[in-house]
Amino acid sequence: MNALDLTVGTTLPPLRTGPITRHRVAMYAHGSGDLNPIHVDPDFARDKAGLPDTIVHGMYSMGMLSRLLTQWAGPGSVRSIETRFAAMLPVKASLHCEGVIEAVEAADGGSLVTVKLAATQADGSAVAAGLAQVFVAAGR
Amino acid sequence: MRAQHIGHTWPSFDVVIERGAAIAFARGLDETNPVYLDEAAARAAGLRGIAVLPTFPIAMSTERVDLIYDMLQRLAVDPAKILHASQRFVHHQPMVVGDRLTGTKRIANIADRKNGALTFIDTVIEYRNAAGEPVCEDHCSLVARNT
Repeated sequence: MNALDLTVGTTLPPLRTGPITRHRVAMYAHGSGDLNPIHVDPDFARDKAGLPDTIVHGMYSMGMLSRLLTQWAGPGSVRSIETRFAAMLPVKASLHCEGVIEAVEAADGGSLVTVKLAATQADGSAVAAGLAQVFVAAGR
Repeated sequence: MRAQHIGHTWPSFDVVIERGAAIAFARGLDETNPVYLDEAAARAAGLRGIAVLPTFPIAMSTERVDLIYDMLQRLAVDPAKILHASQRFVHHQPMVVGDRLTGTKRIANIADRKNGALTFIDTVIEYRNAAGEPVCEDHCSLVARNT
């Protein structure tokens, strides 16, 4: 038995970032080592990349999707995660991360849960979509 | 012809999962669970060391950005024409701070799409521990605009 509801179709507790400020983008740039100016330099984004402003790292969205999973099933639970990047996420936008259980199979000591992932802006426009396999230990 | 580069493998490289790097990565994703930030909390939770988030290997590959530039040079692709199309990580066993791994990167596939307007470049990095066991895999797909 699991305390977590592993029924196919169940929506995991969502993760919502609120507005992603320049400071938060800088924190991710520092943490990831990805200091590409398109993420941190508004002058570059406007004058060199032809964008209205800087954009948030695609890997920030994937990182948040992964945190949706770890806050649900715990550290070390993610066996695989894949994400396709659908659209650029402008700075100051908010990210909504959602996961829905798509399949469950028995695994040694617990269950292997397939989760369909979606990251959108607050208005519902797609940012990234993906799939993950998460190990949920028996009794969790 | 770019396809001749499929299978190209770079010399293996050593990776140490450093405390400061793992904590800065966790903070960059607004993580507040102390098992990702504090040694004592991680041990109290029964972990071997500070836990790392599932997408941390992207920081390990960024540390070897020289391999990305070497690849783009081999393929004659302008770095300004590159976008990140998709990314996948496979975790065979949990990694914690202090782990020492060996990474090996190869070009898995190169494929033209949309009548050659786009080229998809797929790479794989396999990380193994000192015992030679697989720890994690980084599957990256970049897309180059050829126009």
